[in-house]
Amino acid sequence: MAVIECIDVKKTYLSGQVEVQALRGINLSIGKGEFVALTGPSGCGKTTLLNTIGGLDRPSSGDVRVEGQSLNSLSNSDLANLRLHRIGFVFQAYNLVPVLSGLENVEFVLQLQGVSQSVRLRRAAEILRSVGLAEMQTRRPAELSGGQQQRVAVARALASNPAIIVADEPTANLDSKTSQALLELMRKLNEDDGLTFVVASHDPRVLDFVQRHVRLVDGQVYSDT
Amino acid sequence: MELLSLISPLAWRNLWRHRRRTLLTMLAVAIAVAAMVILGSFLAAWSASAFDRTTAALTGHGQIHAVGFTDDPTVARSMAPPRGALAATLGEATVKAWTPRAFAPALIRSERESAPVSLYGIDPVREAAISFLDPSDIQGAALSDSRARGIVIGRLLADRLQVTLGRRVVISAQNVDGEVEDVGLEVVGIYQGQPDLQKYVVFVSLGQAQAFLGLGERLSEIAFTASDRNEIDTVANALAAAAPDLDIKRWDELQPFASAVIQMTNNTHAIWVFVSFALVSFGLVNTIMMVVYERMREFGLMQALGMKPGILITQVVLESAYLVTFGTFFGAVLGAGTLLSLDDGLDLGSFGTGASMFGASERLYPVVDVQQILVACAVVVLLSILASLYPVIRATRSVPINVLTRAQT
Repeated sequence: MAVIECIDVKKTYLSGQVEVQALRGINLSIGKGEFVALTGPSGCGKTTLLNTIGGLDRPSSGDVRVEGQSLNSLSNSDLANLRLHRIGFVFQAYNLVPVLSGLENVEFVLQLQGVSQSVRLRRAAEILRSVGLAEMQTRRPAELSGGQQQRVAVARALASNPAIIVADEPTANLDSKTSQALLELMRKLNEDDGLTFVVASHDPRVLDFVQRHVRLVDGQVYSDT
Repeated sequence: MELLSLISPLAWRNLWRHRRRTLLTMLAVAIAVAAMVILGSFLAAWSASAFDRTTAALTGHGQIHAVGFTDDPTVARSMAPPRGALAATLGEATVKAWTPRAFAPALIRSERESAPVSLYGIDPVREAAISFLDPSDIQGAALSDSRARGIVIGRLLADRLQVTLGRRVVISAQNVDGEVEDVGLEVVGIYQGQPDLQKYVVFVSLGQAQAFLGLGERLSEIAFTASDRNEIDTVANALAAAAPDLDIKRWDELQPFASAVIQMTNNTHAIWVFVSFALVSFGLVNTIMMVVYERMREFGLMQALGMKPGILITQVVLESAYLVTFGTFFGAVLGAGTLLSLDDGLDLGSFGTGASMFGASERLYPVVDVQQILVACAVVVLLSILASLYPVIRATRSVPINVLTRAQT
């Protein structure tokens, strides 16, 4: 069964006075437990498609279904709930809350879900341990390296126990060694826990870790291998 | 509670991300609140002082006259002493004190000078409970009873007439029949208070004035004070009901200028509170707008993670609440501390003469009105929180992707 279905997804937006067609009818189906890479040149629509799949943005036409649920039919509040409970995000620029420690950043999502304090503390600590940051729990983002911050971001994405993790250029700001470690971590989570990953990236190393490679060109699927 | 445990530490930590800016904003709030407390107290003291001086200067909280007396205050417009319903109403607990008076415009002459004066016949015992005539403030002797002989004049008038205690002056006034009567009286006392009255108000005993003016037992006016300033209207209405054939006027009708000055003082207070609050709220909105626009990406992230706009708004509002509450608290302490250090009153010095022209005394005694301070602080905190809603509501209207993308490019 498909976890994600994109049905003739088109997205048009205005850049100043110019109308830009970022997505020109994407049809894509991603099954549970797949590890998919979205690649393509700059401006091909990778991030736009990722944001649309993640419920951060709405398509101009067409539909996206997550676990069979049409995102078009959801209100903003329902979309927020979907993001909170079913989708984990890893962004290019880490995007951690700067006034919270690593542990608190992970715990934050669980707090939003209303998980009790004892459960969320235990779970946040476990997840941080699983990404190799057991010793860094109390440090704030400014006290962590880029790789460590990105691992906290992965831990936060995992905390809500999502069905899908969408990652936008997760290795863009990392050195090769740290990128390698992060990708290995993501693959392990994919293989061990059956998590579905959709990763948009320019980084060719990503292709060594994924099962499926979707290449976009000019807002359309150019190849799907 | 769960929500509060999520956003409360976040709000507190966010407040101190820019320590200097937070402290400066708190300082601005504190200074505005302190200024509000201090000036509010001074204006209240000014207003109270002007009220006390006005009502103590013979006016009382109100007066009873024969109809037409206030337009044409002649000795012919007199009334009987209070009896029946009027006497009963004047004896009620809501009336603190009352005093009967005879009055006539008169001419006073010494061996060297003459001057027009207002001649009052008073019952000195009753008068002391209402007006400024404090026996300890009188050089020589106060009038001992309502039959005493002699006259008490003001210091400035004594200087003008060039008379001292024990010298005789002549009073000339029309009696009830319209004939001019003269009487020679010994200056038994010279009073010091109320500089503006010293030049033209003189006092004799009520019995002496009634005999001199041919009034018999009749009176020109009765001044009264209410037990509580807030009860003046009630007392005046009760007296009007008890004596429908007499003219009962409140102090503000008798002294419209003083009343207008007090009203203006109160309005100034309100305007000052408004201006202070406007400054606080503009400063706060500016700070919150900076905070919001600096953290658009963070807000976008939180919404992307599933935080609903209402929780985000509550978090930023909580930050403003912390900011304003602490600023307001320090301001209130600063203001109250300043006022407590002035418990001996504030001598207006060279401004004192000007102050007395507007009815206030030359030394003001500001008081710390805790209830008023608490209400002012609560209003500042609540209105500031409301003011901070605007920028954050605007921010949460941006969908998450917009703010994430904008911040990254």
